[in-house]
Amino acid sequence: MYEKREVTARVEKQESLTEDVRELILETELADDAMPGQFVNLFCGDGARLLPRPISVCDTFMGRMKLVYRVVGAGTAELAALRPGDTVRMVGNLGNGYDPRTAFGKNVLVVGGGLGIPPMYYLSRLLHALGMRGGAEAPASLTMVLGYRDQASTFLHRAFTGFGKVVFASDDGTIGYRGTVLDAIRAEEISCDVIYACGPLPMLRGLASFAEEQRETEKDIKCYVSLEERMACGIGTCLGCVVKTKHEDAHSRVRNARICTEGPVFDSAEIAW
Amino acid sequence: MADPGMKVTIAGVTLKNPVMSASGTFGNGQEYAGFFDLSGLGAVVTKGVSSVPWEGNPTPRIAETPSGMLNAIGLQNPGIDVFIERELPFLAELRKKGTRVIVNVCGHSVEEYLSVIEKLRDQPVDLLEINVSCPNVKEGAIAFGQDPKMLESVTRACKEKAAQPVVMKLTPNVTDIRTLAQAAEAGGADAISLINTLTGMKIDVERRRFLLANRTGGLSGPAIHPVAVRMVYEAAHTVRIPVIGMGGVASGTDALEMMLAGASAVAVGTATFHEPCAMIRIRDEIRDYLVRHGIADITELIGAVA
Ligand SMILES: Cc1cc2nc3c(=O)[nH]c(=O)nc-3n(C[C@H](O)[C@H](O)[C@H](O)COP(=O)(O)OP(=O)(O)OC[C@H]3O[C@@H](n4cnc5c(N)ncnc54)[C@H](O)[C@@H]3O)c2cc1C
Ligand SMILES: Cc1cc2nc3c(=O)[nH]c(=O)nc-3n(C[C@H](O)[C@H](O)[C@H](O)COP(=O)(O)O)c2cc1C
Ligand code: FES
Repeated sequence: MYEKREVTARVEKQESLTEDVRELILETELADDAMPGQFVNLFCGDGARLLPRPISVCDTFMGRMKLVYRVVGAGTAELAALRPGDTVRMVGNLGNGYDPRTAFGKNVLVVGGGLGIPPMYYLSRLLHALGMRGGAEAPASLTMVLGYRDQASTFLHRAFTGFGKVVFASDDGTIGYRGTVLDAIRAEEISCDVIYACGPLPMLRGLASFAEEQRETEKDIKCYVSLEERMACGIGTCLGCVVKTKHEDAHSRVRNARICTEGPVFDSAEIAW
Repeated sequence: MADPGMKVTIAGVTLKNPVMSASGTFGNGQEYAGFFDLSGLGAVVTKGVSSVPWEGNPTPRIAETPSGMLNAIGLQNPGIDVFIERELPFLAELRKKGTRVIVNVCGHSVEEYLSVIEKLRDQPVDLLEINVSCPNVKEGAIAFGQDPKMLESVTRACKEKAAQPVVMKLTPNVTDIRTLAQAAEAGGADAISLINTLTGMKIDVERRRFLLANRTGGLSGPAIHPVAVRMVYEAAHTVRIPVIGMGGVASGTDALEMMLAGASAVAVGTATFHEPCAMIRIRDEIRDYLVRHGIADITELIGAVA
């Protein structure tokens, strides 16, 4: 295990992917040990904004970390104003991340919705690399389903090509299936042993019950989802970021697990949806 | 000039320096051990511990506000038995390095407080901090700390049971902090600490709903610092027992302000969320100040502005 640490990262570049989605490339030592599904907590320059902004790791390469985020409020607007050479203070790498061992030899379905797509890029790239290496650790297959609002709001959608089969869904049908990612999964009759998903809560809930149905009727499929909650510490001390679970949590033993520490990735069967 | 004296004493317990964590913002310290050497702190104050596990409030539990935050965690904790078995051994090790251990105690009834205090009697703990901001379920959910008579009797009950000196942690959500400080002193408290969070509310205007599931939450951070300084000043000038000051401390200057107002030591809470190593920086800034002003011992500053 690598230590969580506070670092000052240097901005290498920043680009607009859509009207409100940005791609930020940071030079930081945190890139060396970040796992897919983990996140970093970025601090604002404006000291009046005390709390960190959690953003998922979208990719790492050669001491660089890529973050893809949507400008939704003052903090992300501040991030969007960062220019090459600027610095940003952050704490990472946080959370458990996806466990690649759960993909070994399995038919894998990766599902991303909206701003849940960035972490799924990193995960898909690593799963693809595992597949290329072959052997017992290679996933049997990799299918990716990505959901967007519409064609105009797409980002990273081309980046997944080459990792496996990519299926799209959009609210208005301007890209891929018209409907939800679940509609697309059913229409394509995608069969899998394990699902990894990140996106809006209704999507995750839908996938959790999809997996549950499959378990009841045919086979034992696993579904791992990445959750979000408001955070203050990001490292497990404030107990602000909890989610209701079916079994006793490791910290307080009251079925309230910390998303920043026991998560953000959970077995969907463990969540009290 | 020799290194300035940084030691302070509270209820007979000497701290190597006046900086400690504020309850609930530092877990039990372990999570921060990778960020800095915890033995650099005067004391670690634990998250509130109750007699049985507490589930806490529904989420969202946290909202950011200008220079502050609201929290409605609801004191989620695993209870005293798990605390003693799992958390205390780590703190006991830290204690061997001279950092004091202060356990924060919460309860919904006097019996609940007493059962925690009883179990801590022969544990390696230096001070007990009693959080009287918890609602008293029996008396219609008014906080123990809001009624002078109730506060005095809770304090007396805790004192009778406790093996360690007792610090009563006061809530600022009262009309006159002086009467509550007096009540704690009258009940036999060895020290008081203040302030706990100020009750606040935040509404999401776009969605037209409360930001916190609990609707209200406790305001902390730099936004409350001037209120805290005023209350520490009023309390310190009303009672003879020592005062631990807290509320929005984020720099050495903020900490010194508390001490000049009458605090014998200072706790840092929300600042740690913004900067994990804030407490160590604050300690160093205090020392730099003493050197810069040629002050031989920090105790000279306690209540120096009157
Ligand atoms: C584990 C995790 C990973 C995330 N990964 C990404 C990502 O890769 N890309 C992306 O665009 N967004 C991501 N988010 C959401 C992102 O953290 C918020 O959009 C961001 O904090 C908003 O900050 P703001 O100041 O612009 O908005 P404001 O609404 O002004 O923020 C006010 C406060 O609320 C908090 N907040 C607001 N929305 C959220 C939210 N959805 N989740 C948690 N806290 C929130 C902020 O951190 C801040 O403390 C992630 C959230 C979590 C918990
Ligand atoms: C997330 C959070 C949790 C807290 N939990 C407790 C607690 O368990 N017991 C307690 O007495 N005070 C608790 N407090 C109050 C703090 O200890 C402190 O009194 C208050 O936050 C003011 O200090 P600050 O502005 O430096 O944070 C909590 C505060 C925060 C922000
Ligand atoms: S954000 Fe503090 S416990 Fe998760």
